[in-house]
Amino acid sequence: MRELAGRLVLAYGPSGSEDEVRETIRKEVSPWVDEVSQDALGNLIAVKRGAPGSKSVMLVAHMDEPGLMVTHVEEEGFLRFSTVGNVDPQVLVGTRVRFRNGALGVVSAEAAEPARVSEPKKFFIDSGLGKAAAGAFRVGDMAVMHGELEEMGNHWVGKALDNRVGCAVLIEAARELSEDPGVGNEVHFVFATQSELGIRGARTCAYGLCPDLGLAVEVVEAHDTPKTEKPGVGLGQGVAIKVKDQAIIVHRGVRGLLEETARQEGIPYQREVRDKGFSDAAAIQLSRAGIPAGALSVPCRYRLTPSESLDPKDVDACLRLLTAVLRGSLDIQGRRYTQEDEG
Amino acid sequence: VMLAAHMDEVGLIVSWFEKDGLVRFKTVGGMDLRILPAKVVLVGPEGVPGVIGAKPVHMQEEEAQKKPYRIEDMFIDIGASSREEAERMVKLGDGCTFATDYSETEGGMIRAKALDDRAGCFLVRHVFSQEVDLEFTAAFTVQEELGLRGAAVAAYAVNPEIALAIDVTSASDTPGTDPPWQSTNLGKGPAISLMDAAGVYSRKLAARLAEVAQSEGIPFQYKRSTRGGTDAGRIQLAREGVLAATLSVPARYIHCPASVMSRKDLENTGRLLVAFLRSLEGGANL
Repeated sequence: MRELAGRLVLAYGPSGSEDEVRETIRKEVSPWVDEVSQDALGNLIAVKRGAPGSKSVMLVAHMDEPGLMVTHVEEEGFLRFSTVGNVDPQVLVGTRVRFRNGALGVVSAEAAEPARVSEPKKFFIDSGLGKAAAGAFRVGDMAVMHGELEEMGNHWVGKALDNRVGCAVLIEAARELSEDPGVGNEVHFVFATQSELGIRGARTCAYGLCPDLGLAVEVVEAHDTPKTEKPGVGLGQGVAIKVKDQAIIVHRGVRGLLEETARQEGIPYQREVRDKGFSDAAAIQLSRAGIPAGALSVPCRYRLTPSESLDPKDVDACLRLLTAVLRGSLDIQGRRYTQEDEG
Repeated sequence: VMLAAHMDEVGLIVSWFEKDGLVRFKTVGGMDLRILPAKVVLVGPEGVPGVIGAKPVHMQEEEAQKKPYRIEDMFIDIGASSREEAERMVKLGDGCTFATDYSETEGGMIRAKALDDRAGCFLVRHVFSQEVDLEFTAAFTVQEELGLRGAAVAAYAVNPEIALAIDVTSASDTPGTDPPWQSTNLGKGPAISLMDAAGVYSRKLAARLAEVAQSEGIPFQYKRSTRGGTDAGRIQLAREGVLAATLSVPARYIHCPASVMSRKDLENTGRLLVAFLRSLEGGANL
């Protein structure tokens, strides 16, 4: 898993240009599923066929990462940019970014004025090419954060763990299910595009698949660092089961399915209750006539920076819970979603 | 293939009548309130003329003079002297448009209201007079300025594989905006969008537009700002997803009583649109 996550993190995939990530995943997942296809928005859909009349579940992890898009090449070679997705240029100052062709750049800010958060105008990318940059870069070129996945104490640290770690969990789950012929459920492993731009890929995909159940697998902002304003999920405390965020209140039956399974299997979990943030689950829930949807997440610190950090124990808990759910009944009726219900 | 151009324009809507016959209003679509005072508008389906009034500068306190008028500070004067008279002339909910005529300059510029997006409507209509051996659906959409609403349902109905929005985009090539921040420039050809606030567009379609422009010798530019949005952003999300892109004519002062567009850019956008559609004849091969 560590090795797979490392390869996925390294792939280049700003929103709308996820092809390198998609091809990496296509190779990894194809041996474990019955069919792999791609749709108009570039979503990759891998299917494990179910028994006749079985329930179908759509699992989704998004492939894209935030980036910077060149909007102007200055004569002196500095590249002006717009942000792609939710990234604050201020946190990238002094760090390296990488373009599709491997070219590196350093993000910095105009010295004349104190740089304001979220105002890309005051920032630029130094490509190191000077005047030759005009021939090497074009408006529309995109850069992503740079760096390999590394281990730091008990944690993994790297760029784009949001959400390549979710992609890795889906691939691993596909592999485990392929070794277990007893699983009757039909499973659609969806690797989605353009999530950072407002959960776009998952939306059209849910329309196309129209599953009985939708589950997003991703990372969630941890709130467990000094003086955090709102204590929330923490690293090392298990997989986070979504209750609520800005865009969804999870169907109680779906939450019940996840929590009941976690307790039965002895998998550590924590609840995620937030008033901010959104996940691909929200797009599935509101598709067509409505589809019960939920999310399992790995808590992550320093999201949307080159040093996203998470605990591999939580990744393991996430994978275990996901595969346990997929092996069991996907029926969400009558699920006990609190321990009190179980008496 | 679906082409989309929106029919609506930004405007005002009648929201209240004062006792003395002055008409209160709200905006419809994104508009800078600072452009409104003293402009002439046409109210309602009959086009009743009115002028946007506000407290004159010499009657204002010194502090108030430094601030732009808020919408509460303004009204439309249609010449009525009582609420009853005003209500006979126009109705609550009537829309208002700017009373600007179409004109062209000797230097080849077009000056008019609502070029955003009547220029797009004109271009899509123009395609029907050209020889294009391709089945396509043209959608003239409503409520774009309120959040790309018409395009969302039109795309659901048409269910296309490929869509192109033909729109008008802001040319911020005027003093005060340094070249790095000029989104597009007048006279430099049609603008291809890569990303804006409504979405990131298909790079394959954008590349096809650029290739066709190059092979036909049509000048083009990329839109360098990522603000704003076009119908393509919503069409992209219809049903199972659609490959979508946006081609725009640059214009200065859009969403204002008069915008300025280069006739050459308009013509070149039409040429590129037709050549692009011809490139899809016999299959897109994207």
